Amino acid sequence: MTDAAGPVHELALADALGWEAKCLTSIAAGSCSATAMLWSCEPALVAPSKMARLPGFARACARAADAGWPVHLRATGGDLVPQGPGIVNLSLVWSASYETAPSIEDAYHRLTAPIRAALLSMGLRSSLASVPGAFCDGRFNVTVAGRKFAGTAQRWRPAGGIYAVHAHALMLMRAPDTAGIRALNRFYRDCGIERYISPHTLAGLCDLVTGHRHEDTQSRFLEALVRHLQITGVDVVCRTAIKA
Amino acid sequence: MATEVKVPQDLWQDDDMEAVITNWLASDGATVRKGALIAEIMVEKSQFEVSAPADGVLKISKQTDDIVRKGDVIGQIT
Repeated sequence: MTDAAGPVHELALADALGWEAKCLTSIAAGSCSATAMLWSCEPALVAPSKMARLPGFARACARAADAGWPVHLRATGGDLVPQGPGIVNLSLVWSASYETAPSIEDAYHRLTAPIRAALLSMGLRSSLASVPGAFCDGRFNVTVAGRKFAGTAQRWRPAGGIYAVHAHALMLMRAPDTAGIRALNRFYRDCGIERYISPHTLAGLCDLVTGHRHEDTQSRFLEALVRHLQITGVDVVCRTAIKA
Repeated sequence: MATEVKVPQDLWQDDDMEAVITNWLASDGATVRKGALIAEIMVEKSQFEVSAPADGVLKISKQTDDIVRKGDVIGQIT
């Protein structure tokens, strides 16, 4: 993946979510092998579908959209996340045979290993850990210096002796700005959920690597990430190949 | 003969970890086909699709938002 424009597909969020769904179906049908795509999209909030049952959800969506943060539902688990410039997503799909007894924990390690290797190639040591106060917190966040760099989630589909697995990582090239954090916290408040996202819990790549142009830092990291994905046999979708 | 709809036994490693039923996509009493997606459970930010293990009529025994563990029976198909 050496596209001069970089490996990240600029997609409408709905198209990216559609690609993920289509790819999971292809994997379940046995018609494609392990595949990954890096993508970025317009500003939005993305909620797991279970949140749609919250009493204040419709009103919270309307208010968020009015403020420039349209809300989309996604198929993976977890909690509310922001999307937009400054965020690069890694969507990775593959199949695992029942006989190999794959687990959710193994899948998180498969997803995060290339990310952590790419960070290490830039001199950044990372961990997998929960970060209380970060958005969509979980045990398999990729953290650097105790702050959340990437959030992770999955969807699993049993299909005739295999599991089709879709694992997703949301990586912060830049930490969300005040408007993004405010949108998350307002959404929770409007849904009647007592949760507060603190900006101090988050770390963007360009905050972690100083002394270089942000664009160069991001390019180096993403190129390393693609290399580490390819080493593990993943087909990384080229920018020219995507049909959203 | 009834076929149990179960939470997978080996989907996650930690025996103490709990999951939640996030959605039933088939109603109690509905006729379902083997392999059809009938429910979703969530654990560790992972959404797992539960498919019908047999053809028949679904009887739901655990409701949406109920907490479940590995191997729990969440319904039956007769």
